[in-house]
Amino acid sequence: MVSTFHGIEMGKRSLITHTQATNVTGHNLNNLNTEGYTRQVINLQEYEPIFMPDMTREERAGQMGQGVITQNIVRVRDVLIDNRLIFERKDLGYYEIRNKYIHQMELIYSEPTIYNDSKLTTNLRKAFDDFMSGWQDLANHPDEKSARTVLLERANILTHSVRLHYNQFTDLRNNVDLEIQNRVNEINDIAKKIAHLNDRILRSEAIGDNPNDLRDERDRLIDKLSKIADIQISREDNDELIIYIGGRHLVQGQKYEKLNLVANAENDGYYDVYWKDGEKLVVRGGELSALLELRDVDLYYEIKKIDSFAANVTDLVNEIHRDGFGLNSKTGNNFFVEFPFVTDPAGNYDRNRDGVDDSTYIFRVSGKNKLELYDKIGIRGTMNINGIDIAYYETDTLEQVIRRINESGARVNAFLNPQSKLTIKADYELNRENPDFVIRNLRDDGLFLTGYAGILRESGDAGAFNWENINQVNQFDNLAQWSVAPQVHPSAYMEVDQKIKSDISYIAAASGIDTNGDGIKDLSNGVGDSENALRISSLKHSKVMVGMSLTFSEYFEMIIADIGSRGSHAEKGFKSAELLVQNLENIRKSISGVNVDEEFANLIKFQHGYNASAKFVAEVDKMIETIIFRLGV
Amino acid sequence: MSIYRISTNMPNENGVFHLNNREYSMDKVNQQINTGKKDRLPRENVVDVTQAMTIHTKIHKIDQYIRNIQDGESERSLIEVKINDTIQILQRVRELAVQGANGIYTEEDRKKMAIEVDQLLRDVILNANSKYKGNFLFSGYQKYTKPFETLEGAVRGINQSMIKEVRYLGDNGKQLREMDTGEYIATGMPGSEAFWGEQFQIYSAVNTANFRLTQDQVIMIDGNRIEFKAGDNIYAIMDKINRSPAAVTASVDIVNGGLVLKTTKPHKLELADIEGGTLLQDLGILEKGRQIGPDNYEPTATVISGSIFDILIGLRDAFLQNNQEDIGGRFLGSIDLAIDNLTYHIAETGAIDNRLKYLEKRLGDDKIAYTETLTKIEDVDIAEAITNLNMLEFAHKTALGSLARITKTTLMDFLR
Repeated sequence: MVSTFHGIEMGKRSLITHTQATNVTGHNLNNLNTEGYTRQVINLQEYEPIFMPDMTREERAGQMGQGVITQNIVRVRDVLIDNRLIFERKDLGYYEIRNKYIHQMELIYSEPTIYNDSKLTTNLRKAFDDFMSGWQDLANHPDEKSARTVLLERANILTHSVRLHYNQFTDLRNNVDLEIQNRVNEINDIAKKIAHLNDRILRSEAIGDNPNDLRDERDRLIDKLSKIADIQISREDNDELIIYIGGRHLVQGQKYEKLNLVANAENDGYYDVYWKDGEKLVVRGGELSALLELRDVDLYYEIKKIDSFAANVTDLVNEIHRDGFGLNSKTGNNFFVEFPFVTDPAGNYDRNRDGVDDSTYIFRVSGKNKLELYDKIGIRGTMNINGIDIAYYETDTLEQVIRRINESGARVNAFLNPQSKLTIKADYELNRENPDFVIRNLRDDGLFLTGYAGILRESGDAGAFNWENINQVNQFDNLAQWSVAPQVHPSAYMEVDQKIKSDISYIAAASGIDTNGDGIKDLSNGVGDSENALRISSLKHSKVMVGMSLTFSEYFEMIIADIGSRGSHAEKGFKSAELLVQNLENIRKSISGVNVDEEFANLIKFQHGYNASAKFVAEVDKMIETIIFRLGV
Repeated sequence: MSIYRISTNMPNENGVFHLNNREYSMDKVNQQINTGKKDRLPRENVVDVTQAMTIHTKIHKIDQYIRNIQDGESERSLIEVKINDTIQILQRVRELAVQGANGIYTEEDRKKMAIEVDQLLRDVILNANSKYKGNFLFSGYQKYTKPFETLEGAVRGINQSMIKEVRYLGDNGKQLREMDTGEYIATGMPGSEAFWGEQFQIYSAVNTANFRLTQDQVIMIDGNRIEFKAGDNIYAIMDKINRSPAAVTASVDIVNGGLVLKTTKPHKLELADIEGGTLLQDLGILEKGRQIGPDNYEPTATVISGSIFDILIGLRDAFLQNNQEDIGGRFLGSIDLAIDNLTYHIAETGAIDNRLKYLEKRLGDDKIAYTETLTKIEDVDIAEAITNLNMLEFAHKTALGSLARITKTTLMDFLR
């Protein structure tokens, strides 16, 4: 026999359930515009029916239902799509950042020119072209001061442009470093929050609830994190959500690891990211990975390219300028300032800072013999430059051997200087352990570097030049010429020499002769001689830049082509990642997003359900009223 | 894309996404129209951008070469004017010489002619000391130094001061200008070439029969560097000098065995011992201790200079001494040689002028060709850009309209 109030209880249960359903619908509608909200669905279930098959069962047809109850409230979410998005979003983060910064780098170069009037262009290439023009104009009037004034002005524009590029790239690098610091702090913050959420979610689930909004919050944080770094997620254990970065645990259930920022003196004081136990963080995707790559690869080498340009222009112009004579007949002066890496004229340096010199830092060496480019060398052997073996044969022309040296990957540039002497120059290093613009090893078991070019004194190991010893300049031939390596980042301080700035008569347009046989020119040809100015301006034809033997103009083109293709690649990567993520987000929204029409239809449904239950309760109420008030005294 | 359920925000967000992309495209076209250039960044078209850079540099170079040519041309034309003027003066002198050689003129007449020759001499000196842009035209490299210095004094046969000597204080340098890649052209002319009439000769007084070099030496003749090795005897030395590009021949005098140097075209010979050598000093050509000039010749050597001024001074003195034979003989011949040489120089500068004009025209044509190519690579076709802009604008408007319509109505509007 069911209880008297069975109906009312059932009705009450239904009213409460339908109110709950309405609230869930209301919750969905309220969160229509909430980012990352997953719509919740209430599942209604029949309440436990009576009676159980035992002794107390009523002797009537059964079982009797007891109405409706909420089974659960669940999120409609597809974990597969979530995982896809986590995987794809790291590419979006990576390319978005990369695109942004490479765009900035392209803007620094100011190519292509957008002005039709070439006088309005202000990029490095134009500054260099104008500088070379200045020497030509001086060659037209080597006896005049006005031509020198103009040349000085153009030289100042060139050095200013070089320094500007250095400063702007360094600025960008500083910005990137700041962003790296911010991102790492963000990762730490998010990891902490996720760990706390894991704790709360676990406790709620233990009681049997569905902490849907907490799960939404956690998923939002995971989404954010997946753009910053390439995380992997493990949901296998329901009680413990694990997030990995670079193969290590970042979050494991309620526990989380903090990442540390440590300044690296070898990298201009910029920060590296480490785990607490000292292992370096490995990221292969996401914004952080892009930032680290931009800072330590793209911008790092871009600055080196400008350095290489500055070092070479300074060295080449100075070499010729020292040979020439100014209006005041003075010779031996530099045009650009030179800050040698070490003050010791033999390039000796104390590398391990123990107080004793231990290395030789030489940038360039020129042999003593005049050579012809297309002559067959007629000798055979193998030379070793910076650890790379380069073979040569009797039938090779000098031009072929030079090309072989340049393409060998030894990071040196070989060419014939204006005096037709073989010159070997070091370029910036790709391996961070080795210093830039320093020749490390020269050895020849044959005669190419020794008797033929006149660079080394002796063949074999005894005559080898090894930068890790001191006084290695003694390995060079007596009449070979060499110059000490420049200080780090020559583009940061490239400047016209003070002597020239204060008195332009020092600008050496004229050439001269050696009267006393010491090998150094000491008498000017006269103020009307333009030979030295013409020699300097002919540098624009010379193939003196590293790796592929390019002229300065070709070097610029290579730099621009390189950054242009990187930019184009980054943009395409960004656009395609953006589109892909957009599509996946659409799929997710289609599953988890709130549809207003749907919710309103549900609202009507639950409203009707509520009304029906209320009416039912009213009817039962009437029935009970009959029993209580109509039956009896 | 198999999405069957659309959440309410999707049309809006997708619409905005695509609107943003289109606005980016419209901005790009707008920039193209504003600047007239196709590409703003290297990434947009790497090949075009780097090609454009190459051509900009080429055009820059061509502009420089044209400037160099025009500069050289203006110097050259001034030289031509001065030399032509000098030829006129020498024609007059020749007339006088022809007249003066004639027996009907008296000593008095010849004295008057001498005065006129002296005047004409001063005119030539004025020409020779002309300036170009504030510095001397005919001094070679020594542009601050007046090329021809005069020494005045008493001359036999007349009571007034006359020019006794004209010395050349400049050098033989010819300033080079780059007129095309690797093409260096000299448009100048040092006075030691322009105002010379006869071959320069120097006869050493030192016997060279047993001369032999004990160490390597280097000398410089007219800017040409000539090397000698230890063990060279006088014949080897002569041979090397004759083979060098300098316009000079070396020989040994049969009488005293001394070295003789003669120019092959009239100019003043510039001799120097360089790099610590003493060869020319040892051979008695140059004065000991004066390895470099000007006028560093050994006093005991015989120097026959041959400048136009020497000829004119000689002629004038002959007039003053009433030396009819020399006037009509030796000096008339010398004046003819001088005029010949000047005429040769005119032809020379004329040839250079032709070459410069040809170069200038060719460079001008090159520049036009490069500029055309540059335009094709760099510049945007405005008609095409505007058409693109119109298309984008239309698509944009349509998209905005569509977005507005579908986000309007929901079930909410139909519930009581």
